[in-house]
Order: sequence, then C-alpha cells, then structure tokens
Amino acid sequence: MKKRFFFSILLAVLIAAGVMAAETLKVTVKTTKLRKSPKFYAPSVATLNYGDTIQKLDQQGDWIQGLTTAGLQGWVHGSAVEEPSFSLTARRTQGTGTTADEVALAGKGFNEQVEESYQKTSNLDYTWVDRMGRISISEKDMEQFFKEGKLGEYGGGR
Amino acid sequence: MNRTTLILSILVAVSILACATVSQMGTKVLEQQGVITEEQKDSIDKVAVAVEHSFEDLTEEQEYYLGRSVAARILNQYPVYENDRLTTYVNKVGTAVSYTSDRPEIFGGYHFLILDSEEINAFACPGGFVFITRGLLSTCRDEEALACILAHEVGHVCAKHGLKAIKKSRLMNAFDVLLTETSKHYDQKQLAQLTDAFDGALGDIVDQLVVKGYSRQQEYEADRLGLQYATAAGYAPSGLVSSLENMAAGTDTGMGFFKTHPAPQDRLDKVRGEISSKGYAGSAEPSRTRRFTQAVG
Repeated sequence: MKKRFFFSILLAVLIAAGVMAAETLKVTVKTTKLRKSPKFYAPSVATLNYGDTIQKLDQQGDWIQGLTTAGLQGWVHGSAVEEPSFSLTARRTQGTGTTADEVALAGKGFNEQVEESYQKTSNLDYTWVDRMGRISISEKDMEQFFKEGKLGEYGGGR
Repeated sequence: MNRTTLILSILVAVSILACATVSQMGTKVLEQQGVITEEQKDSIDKVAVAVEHSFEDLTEEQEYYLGRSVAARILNQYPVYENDRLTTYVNKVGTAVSYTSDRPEIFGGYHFLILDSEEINAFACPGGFVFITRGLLSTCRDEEALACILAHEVGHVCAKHGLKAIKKSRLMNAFDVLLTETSKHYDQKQLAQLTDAFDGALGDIVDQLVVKGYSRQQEYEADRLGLQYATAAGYAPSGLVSSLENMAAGTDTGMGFFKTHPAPQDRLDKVRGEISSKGYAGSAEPSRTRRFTQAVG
C-alpha cells in the first residue's frame, strides 16, 4: 500500500513537471517582439530578450500565444523560442540558475569574449558589420511593403 | 600531459574518428573503473555528440558570433556599395522572404548589404548576414528575380550550409576548454585556444563561401528552399528562372559566382523541374516591378 502510494505521488510529480516544462518557453534570439496578432508586422505588445520565458497559452500554425512574467499576452513566432531542456537530475550551476547542460553548450565556444579576442589578433574592421546589424525595417514599413506589392495575405502568398 | 588528460584526448579523438556511441561506451567503462569522474564522463559524452554532429548544433548565439566574423572577413575583401535607399529596399525584399523561411527568427535577425563589385556573386554567412554584389543585382530584371536570389541565400542560412563547412578537427584544438563546465568566462590560455579554433572555423567557412563554393547538392538545396520561401511570400518562381537564364547567357568569367556555383544551365533544369513538380505559379506584379525599377534605377 505504502509502495503504491509512493509511486502514485511520483507519477503525479512527473506528469506535473512534464506539463509545466511543456508550457514554459525560453527566448533563443537576441531580441524579438511579442505581437498583438500572429503576423511579423503586427504591432508589438512587449520586447522579449534572450533567456526570457513565456507561458504558452495557444498555438496557430508556427505562431505561439504566450504570457510574459509581467502578465502581458501576445504572439511570438515558434522559431524564436524553445522548450528549455528539463531534467529531474540536471545539476544547477551555483548562482547562475542555469543547468550544467546549458553551460556546457555555452562552453562549446564562440561568444562575445572570443570575438573580442579574435578582433584584437586579426585587426579586422567590424564597423560595417556593426552597421549592418543595426539595419532594421519597422513593422509598419514591412506591412506597407506587403500591401503595396500584393504579397503575403495581400496577394498570392500565405 | 597527465594520465587523465591523455585519456580524455584519446576519447575525443575516438569520437572524431568513430562515433559518439563508441566514445560513450568507453567513458562508461572508465567511469565504472574509477578512472574518470561522473562529471568528466558527462562532459566527454556531450563533446562526443557535438563532434559527431559537427558544428551544426551550435547554439544560435554561437552561430551569430561566427557569422559576424565571417561577414567582417568578406567586408575586408569587398567594399560596401553605400546607397541607403537601395540598401533599405534590398532589406525589405530579403526580410519578406525570410518571413516564410524555415528560420524566420534567428539570433540577430537577417541583414542584407550590397557589395560594390561588378563580380556576379552573393554570400550567405551563418547568423543571417547576407551580401549581394552590384554585379548580381544588375542581372535582376524585376523584384521577383531579386526575391528569388535573396531567398536562395536565406536557404543557405536556414540549412546551416556555412556551419557544415567547419572541419571537425577544430573541436579537437579546443577540446579541454570545451570540457570545462564551470565558467562561461575563459582565462587567457583557454581564450587563446578557443580563439585559434574560432580562427580556424572562420577560415573553413570563408574558404567554402569565397574560394571553393558550396557543394552542388547544397546549391540545389538552396534553390529548392529559395523557390519555396519566395513563392510562399507571393513572388513568381519565374524570378529564379529569368535570373539563371541571364547568367547562362552571360560570359563565364570563371570568377565569383561562376567559380563557386554549378553551371546556370544545370541549375535551370533542376529549378524548372521543381517548379513543375510543386506546381509553383504566379506572375510578376506590376507594382513590384515599378518599385524595383525606382530603387535599382
């Protein structure tokens, strides 16, 4: 009886953990927008940064409806988020709150510190790379571009 | 080199030469015999899996940092065509086709830049840094053609073709740093090792992009993906056909695009087959051609 009770509790914990893990999503891109509707040029509700988490509420095609920790609700494209790897045995690295798996992944190498070191040794000029990275087209301009060119929902696209 | 480091070296070498499964069998035995700790076993297993998958499984962030430096190396060889209006237009077309790609959201987003060169060429760096030369731009007769070319380049990014160019031995050069799990911030020695591996990986990608070109199969895959993304956005597939026809009709200079891509005629045959089998249709929209003419001039 005791044994059965113990397994029931364990099963419940595992199911709950599985459900919780499945519904929490982590942002994997530097920055993205939580949008009012499931479209890239829809107005934004909030800015999400790398590592932020959202609770998944719904899904329409590739778009996920989520809720931020601040209680804001909106849509984010599925390619900008992922389910954090969840393991009951994952070792937490002291102080960082990250799992050893995540650190090992980061430890695979190439980060900002390595780029800085490479910049110094190579003497390469990154001015244009930085300028290129700042090129950004607003949602409003992209919607106008789609409308005017009869693209996507305004024409023959999907 | 102490005994444990030697064993770790051998195991990483085994994982490069054989496969992760073989390496994991070895680590299990060594852990059972108390030669290595459980933590070391986990680390080696992770590196072995990473080695087996080569660099395709790098995180989005690492792909972005590699891509930035590949872009810097390309910009070291080609001057930028500074024309804000045209650059904005090219970015709008590129962004439009990225929306319907397999990876519309990548770490730093997609960015497109025009290179001031008559050479007919384009480069897709990991992390979404895409370059098109003025020479290639001049072969496009409308927005459909430009969209299909940019969608082809986005296809290379989505399929991680650049990362696949990195030699597996690059991991070997920095393996003991890769086994370190305690810190994301490296000391000087670790940093020097990783910077060497980074430099080597960049060399592999740039060599593939600029000198050798992608394999024929990768180019055909990028054509297939490009057609898929461009037509999903609403562009006519004839854009890629007309662009390849223009290239086929041009003089093979043996430089740039002609050096790094399969013959346009070979690609045309495959592209026409793909359009027919997938039933891609559509025609050039006058409003798009108008704005193309205004922007390109």
